[in-house]
Amino acid sequence: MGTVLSRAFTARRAPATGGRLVTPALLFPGLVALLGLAILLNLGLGAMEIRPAQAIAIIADRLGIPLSTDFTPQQASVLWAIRLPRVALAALVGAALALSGATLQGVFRNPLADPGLIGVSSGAALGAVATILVGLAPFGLATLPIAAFLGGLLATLAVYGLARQDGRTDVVTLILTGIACNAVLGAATGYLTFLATDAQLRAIVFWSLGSIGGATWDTTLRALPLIAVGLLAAPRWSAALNLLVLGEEEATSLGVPTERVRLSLIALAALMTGAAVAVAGIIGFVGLVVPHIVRLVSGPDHRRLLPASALAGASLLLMADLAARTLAAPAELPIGVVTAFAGGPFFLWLLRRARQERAIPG
Amino acid sequence: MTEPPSPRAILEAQAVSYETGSQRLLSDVSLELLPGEVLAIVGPNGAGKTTLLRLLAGILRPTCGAVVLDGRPLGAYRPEELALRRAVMPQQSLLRFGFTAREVVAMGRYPHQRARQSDRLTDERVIARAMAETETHELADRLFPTLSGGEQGRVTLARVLAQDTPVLLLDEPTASLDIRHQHGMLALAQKLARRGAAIAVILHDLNLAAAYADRIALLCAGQLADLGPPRAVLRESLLTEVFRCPIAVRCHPLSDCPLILPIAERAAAPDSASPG
Repeated sequence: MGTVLSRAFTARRAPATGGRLVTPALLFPGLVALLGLAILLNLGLGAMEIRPAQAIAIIADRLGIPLSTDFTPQQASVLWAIRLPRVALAALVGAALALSGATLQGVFRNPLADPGLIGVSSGAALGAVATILVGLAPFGLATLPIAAFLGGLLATLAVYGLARQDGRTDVVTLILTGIACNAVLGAATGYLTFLATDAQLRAIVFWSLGSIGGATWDTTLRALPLIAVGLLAAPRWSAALNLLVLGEEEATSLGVPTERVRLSLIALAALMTGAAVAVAGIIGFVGLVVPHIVRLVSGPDHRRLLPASALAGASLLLMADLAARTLAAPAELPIGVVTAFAGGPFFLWLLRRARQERAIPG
Repeated sequence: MTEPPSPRAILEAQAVSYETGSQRLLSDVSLELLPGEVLAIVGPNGAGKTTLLRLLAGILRPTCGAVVLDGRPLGAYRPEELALRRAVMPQQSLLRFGFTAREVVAMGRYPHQRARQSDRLTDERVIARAMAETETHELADRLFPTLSGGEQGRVTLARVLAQDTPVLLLDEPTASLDIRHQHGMLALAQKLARRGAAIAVILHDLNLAAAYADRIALLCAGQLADLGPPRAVLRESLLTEVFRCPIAVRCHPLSDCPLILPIAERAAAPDSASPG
């Protein structure tokens, strides 16, 4: 606690007033409050307005606790069938992407790493585009998510397998292998896109810009177990991850089974990202940038960074989804467009501010 | 240099060789590291000092021969068991994330926390002592990547001390330190050895090795050229041959340990003598 507080109050190269958005002691309470606010806004705003008290009353009613607040049956069904699954899915996907990004940045000791780096996004895209083109649907509406998920997982396995030599993987080799595989997968996706009809093209573009719009309880519950595994398991490695960023040899000599930690974390990140991309398409920016934003407040310790990134990612995607469905109502913007449009400039501002404040960003 | 080290080796290299590809970096080196001693590893660039240290640490596996720690070959230990027995200080740290110095030192406690052999109070005490001994407590809240090379070195040493192991392997710990901290660091190593630690340390400065080491291992082209007390190893003829540079050895006028003086080979002298 001492270091946490002194981190906030010690002036470094910067004026003491500079920089921090909130003090680290308020990090988790602040993030939980932000998430709560984002959830209530998402439940309440839209074509049918539902006040926060009403939203709570509807949920309580479902659980068999009658509250005195009035609501209409229409409000109840909109909340229950449309808004709640969508909120749940957006939160899950945001948390999954941000946590994957934070994890992989640690694993690769590289602040530029994002979930796309290990091939999961481009593999999923190829799976999804192939499904759209072939037009077969052995699993009905679940066909595309399943194909995307398997594509992402296979691509990650391929990257890891190709980068592995003599039972070890070198970080730089892994990153370069990822870049090469992404290029090949991207080319394959591009070729299929070139073959696509106009209707198929529209479906491809829609999917690759990302959307939470298709959320139902079904899709949400399908993604839930995969993402939950990652959310629960990845933070267990956070102390080892702290040592891994010291360097591979140092981590080994401090007793970290580096290869096992790396394989586990890459697998978890692929699982989470694969599930997220499968149900929501490709949503850029969240996995790369949320960990950076969080690091500015929490510091680099993964024991704080990982859970904080998951919370912040969930809030960020909820707010982005709110913007996606309200800004151009009744039409919906692709959520990937919103995250990149709003997030890019914000991140630039943050970078400049962080650079003025301390020598090392992140 | 007054007490004889206790005879039983804690770490032992048994005829180890190491090759990568076609290159033989180390051949047939045998040495023992005893509890209570500071063993300096010296030699010219590329002699295999760091390779030897990494073999002793178990980071590299020897191509031939074996390294034995406490009677068991290193290969028989799991990484977390090794981490409780030996700590390694690398030449330089690659850390680019903004951890504070104190957080870096606290990382040394990881093996103990993982093995559940420590509690919060012990951790705090060991960390505080390590930082006091390395004079790094005033750096505690600074961000590690913003420290100077010498400060990073001292913080890294504090991390190694916080690991609290009977064997310490230090790769050029004095490299970017000022003269006071060079001596401070080796005096500290000597003090830890007197408390029972076994310390192997790579040094470039032969005078530091002469002043602080109990024994010196002199490496040359991947082989052990000599091993023994400073007085026995630091001979004019041997050093001149190994370093391929004329070297004189005298007796230090104040401390009575060997004083190594490289003899400058001057080009044809200009008229005025250069100062210093």
